[in-house]
Amino acid sequence: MRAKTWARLIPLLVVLTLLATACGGPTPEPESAVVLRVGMSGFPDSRNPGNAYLTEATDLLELVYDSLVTIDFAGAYHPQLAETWTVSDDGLTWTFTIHGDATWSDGQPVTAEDVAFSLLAYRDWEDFGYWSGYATHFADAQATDPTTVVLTLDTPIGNLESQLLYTFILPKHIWEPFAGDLDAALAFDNAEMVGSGAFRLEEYQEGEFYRLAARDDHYLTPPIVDEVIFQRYSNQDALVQALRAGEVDMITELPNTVVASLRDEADITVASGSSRGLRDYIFNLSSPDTCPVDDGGICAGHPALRDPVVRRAMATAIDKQQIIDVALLGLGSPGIGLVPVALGDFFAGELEDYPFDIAGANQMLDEAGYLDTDGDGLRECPATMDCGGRQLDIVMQIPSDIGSGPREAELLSGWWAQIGIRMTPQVLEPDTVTANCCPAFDFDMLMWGWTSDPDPSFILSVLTSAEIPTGLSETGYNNPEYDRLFDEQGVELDPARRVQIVHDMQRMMLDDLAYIIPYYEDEVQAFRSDRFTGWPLPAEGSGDILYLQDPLSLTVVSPVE
Amino acid sequence: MVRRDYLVKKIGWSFLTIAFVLVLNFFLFRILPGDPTTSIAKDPRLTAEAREALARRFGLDKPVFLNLEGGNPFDSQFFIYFGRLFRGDLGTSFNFNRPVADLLGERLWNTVILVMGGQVLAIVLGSTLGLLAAWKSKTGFDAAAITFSLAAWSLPTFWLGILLLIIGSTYLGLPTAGRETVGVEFTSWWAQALDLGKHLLLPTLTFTIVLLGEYMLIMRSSVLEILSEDYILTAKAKGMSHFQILRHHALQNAMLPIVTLIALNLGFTVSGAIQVETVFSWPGLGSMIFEAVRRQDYPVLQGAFLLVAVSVILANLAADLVYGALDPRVKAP
Amino acid sequence: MRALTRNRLGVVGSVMLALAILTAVMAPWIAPYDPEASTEVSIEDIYARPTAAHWLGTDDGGKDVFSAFIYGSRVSLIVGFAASLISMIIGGIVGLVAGFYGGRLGNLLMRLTDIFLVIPDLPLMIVIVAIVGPSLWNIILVIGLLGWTGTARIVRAQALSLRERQFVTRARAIGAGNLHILRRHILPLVLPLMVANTVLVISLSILSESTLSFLGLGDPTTLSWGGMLNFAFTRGAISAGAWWALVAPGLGIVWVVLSCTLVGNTLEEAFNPRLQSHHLQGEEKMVVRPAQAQAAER
Repeated sequence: MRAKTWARLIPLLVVLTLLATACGGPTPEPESAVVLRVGMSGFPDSRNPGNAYLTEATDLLELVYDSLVTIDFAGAYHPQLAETWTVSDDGLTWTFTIHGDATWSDGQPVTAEDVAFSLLAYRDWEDFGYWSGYATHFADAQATDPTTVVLTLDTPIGNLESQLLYTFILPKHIWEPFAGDLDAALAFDNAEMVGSGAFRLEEYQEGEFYRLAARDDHYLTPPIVDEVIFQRYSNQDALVQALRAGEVDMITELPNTVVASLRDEADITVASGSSRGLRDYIFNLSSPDTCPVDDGGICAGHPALRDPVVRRAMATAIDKQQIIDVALLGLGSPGIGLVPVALGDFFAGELEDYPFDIAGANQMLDEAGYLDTDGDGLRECPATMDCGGRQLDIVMQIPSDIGSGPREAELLSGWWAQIGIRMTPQVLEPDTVTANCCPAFDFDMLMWGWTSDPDPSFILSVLTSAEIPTGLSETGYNNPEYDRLFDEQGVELDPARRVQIVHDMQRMMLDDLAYIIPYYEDEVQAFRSDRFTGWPLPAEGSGDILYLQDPLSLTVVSPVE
Repeated sequence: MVRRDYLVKKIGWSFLTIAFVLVLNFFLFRILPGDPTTSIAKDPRLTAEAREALARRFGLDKPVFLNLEGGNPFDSQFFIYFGRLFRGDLGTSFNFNRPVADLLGERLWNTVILVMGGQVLAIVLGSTLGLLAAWKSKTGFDAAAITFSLAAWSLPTFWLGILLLIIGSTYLGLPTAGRETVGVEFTSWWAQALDLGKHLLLPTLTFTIVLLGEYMLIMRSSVLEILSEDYILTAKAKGMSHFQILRHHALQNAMLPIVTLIALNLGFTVSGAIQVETVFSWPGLGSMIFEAVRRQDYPVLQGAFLLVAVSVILANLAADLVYGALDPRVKAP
Repeated sequence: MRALTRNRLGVVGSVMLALAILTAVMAPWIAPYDPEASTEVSIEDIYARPTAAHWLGTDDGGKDVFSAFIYGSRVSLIVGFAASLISMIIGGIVGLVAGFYGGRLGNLLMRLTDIFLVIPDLPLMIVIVAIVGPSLWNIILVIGLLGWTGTARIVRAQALSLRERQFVTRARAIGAGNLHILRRHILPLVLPLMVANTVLVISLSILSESTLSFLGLGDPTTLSWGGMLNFAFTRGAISAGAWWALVAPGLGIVWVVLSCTLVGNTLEEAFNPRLQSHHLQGEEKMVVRPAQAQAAER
């Protein structure tokens, strides 16, 4: 028995030695195939587009599925599965000619039947992920011959390409059993992900990694690399360290604080460019008379925030560049309206923002009658208002997944304290913020963000009164003139005229200040320049998007010899 | 043999504890703020009908405890939850839209490997250190060993892990994440084992360091205690060497408190696993819990908590039984 | 000789703990900057290296890490003390009732204690904090409400043995009520042990708070060491090479946890008669107890 105790230790010692030698042991044989490794800190939530909501999932979908059209980093649309298309004069009939030599990853040919099937399937599945929202005005789609599809709309759409971008074409021979049956479509695991994209899914380990093989037979963009592996890192420091150590060749995200030290590394390139992401500070404008009570509206916001003068004073007491420096280390641009700078012509760069002016802000509040009558440093509502005598003491709710949120709130509190407004930040679980937000309107202010589509329609819709009951409107902003302009831009077929309307809407936004937009975020990514080359990087000051995991990038990069 | 009443009592209480955890688990997740469909619905643009459909799909439209609206009184969330549990159905992940049981099953073994490795190493190293410290008591070595053990015990696990990750990766070229080098065809099982070993090294080391302190202290005090017994003097007089005395008497008798500690340490082991796996992106239950918190994936959180709690309870039971078999007072006459 | 080494460690622990408390109390006089004050920050100020002006460099908000470290000790100690006070009260009451009254109620309480003892704490804490939201008081409450089991067991064991002591039976014989005996005879003897155990629980509470912060369940709007670590993790301190932002609060935690462990162990050894005298084999379980209690709660 006693001898056995020691004998039992021997295998342990062997394991120990094994572990110790593992340290200095040889690395596995390098393969002849060219493998590009990507590190990311999230993971797709599903392989089925209908259940896929995370950006990581969209990345995967775009690599595996093609759409009729695609968009480049400057925001211009290009043909993908559709070689050419024509539009009827009334804008209701679109005729697409698709590539004859495209194939699915299981070898079957891609036909017009597949395209027509997909477009109708999205129309019929309501709430199929985000994607069915892009098919709302599709009246019919018919395959008239193996390479021709005719799509008819029930109303002209100003920018149909932007919708076709996100109607991924699905193989009819796989998805046909689920046509018109949303529940069945959502229950499908789509483990194989049969698609017509430039990559084919080879291996998928939930929450760990997935492996994509290049499709050399792709009709349009056969990739140069042989394989791409996406691996998840559950913390950002490990992710950055993996790039430094050469474990991965590219990382999709990194904290901006790391940029300076990574730029010092010889073999690493840090790239930055525009993104369509923005930060917003949301005011609760819903009043008891506009409150969506039937949809769960509580509308408990501080009444003073419904006064545009107070909002303008608060906007005047913000130094946006300072926020950009602290939160983003300078990697962003000052925000004006909801349409980010990356949307090109739609961005209203000509608008004059409120200048940072604490004294001016104080004067605005003084003139409007918000005075500090009891000398405690906080202003009160003037007696003439229904909040008469109530202090300007507000709470800003911040979802806990905004890393720089508390830092931004610190700065805001500091400035607003100087104009007699106390703002207390409150960090909450994102779910709780969603529940308090809308259509409950149970908050004074929120800090949140949006990522815009390439087309401004969606981001503009969040300020329309139609979205107040749906919960998409976070502000409760209600302006019939804005609503009218929104409808107008949606059906305007003249691009220049549409841009003008979108600019007018942003001017209105800036005057009414339902949101304060402190900044548009830059995308920051990094890659090993000693491993792969040919990454499409935006030119300095071009405003182009940076997205290294986009098919546009991954199909063109090549190994460094 | 273990006395039967002891056995029955221990097993009985374990099952009662499990029952308590099951009920606790149910109610814990019914006190969520707001509408639970908010967490399921990742798309804010969801219509009211779609919301209702979601509630139906996840069984959230039923009354919570008893169905008093006529019909079957047991057609309620509470009884459905238990009914499903008995069939091994832990619900569906909000985030991955897959059965929670499948997700947990994929990850369970990774955690077991990691935890076992860390525990075994900690026991071996900790006990050895404790034995030596007791043998060399009142020397500088003893004081150093105590200080080291206490300091190691005081380290926040995640903090130590991050430091080791940076050091190990920068200076030793060890991998920073995962369980294997993805996409590599291994030429032999040996190469594969080596790859696994490399990935295991840092997380296991982290685990070992934070765990070994307690084993060291326990071993040291038990051995000291035994060495002060009179029969040790006798053995010494009979000419047994120090090594023989330690081996024959001290080690044997110190096993009992070590077994107890292993069982009591399980809760802490779980806490360590969550931290170590999160730092090293180890695809186990711990990192799954972390991810579920980040994504508010309550079914996964609920399922993982249940699995972890039940494992700890059963492991405690096992330790109790082993203890019973070792401890002369509990042993059947 | 052994007791002396132990005591020496106890002295070291007390000095360390006293220093930590002194730092927390004297924070405004020690810290060179006020962490609450808003200052003009440029990009160069973020994660700036240690200099004469900033001994421990600056953090991701461009603020002085040393000052944050000094002020952060306050919240960390408050969390530790408040949470373990809650644990002490609950554990003390449960232990006293179970040990002194015994009977069915006592049995039930001990069973409850056993149940909570085996439920792994951190997952439960994570679940609860994820549900109730990460505010400072929620965190204190959660840690305190889950940390009492070890105290309860120790107090019960002590009360159980005291109940049979002569002075208790004598007091009862002259007609003293249960409450009176409990208050006048039992509590004074149990209290030192409770205090010793509470000191150990402080260290566990502080570790728990930092772990919750690491997992993103801390309250980032209050300045604690855990909160500093949280910022360091979410804002890439290590990757940026700003080791000072991570090492300072980490060492602070180690410092306080270690000091509480040393003090607690020494006190417990001094107050627990069982730990001093019994060397019979059958009492081995008792010898292990303080460490057991720690292990179970951590």
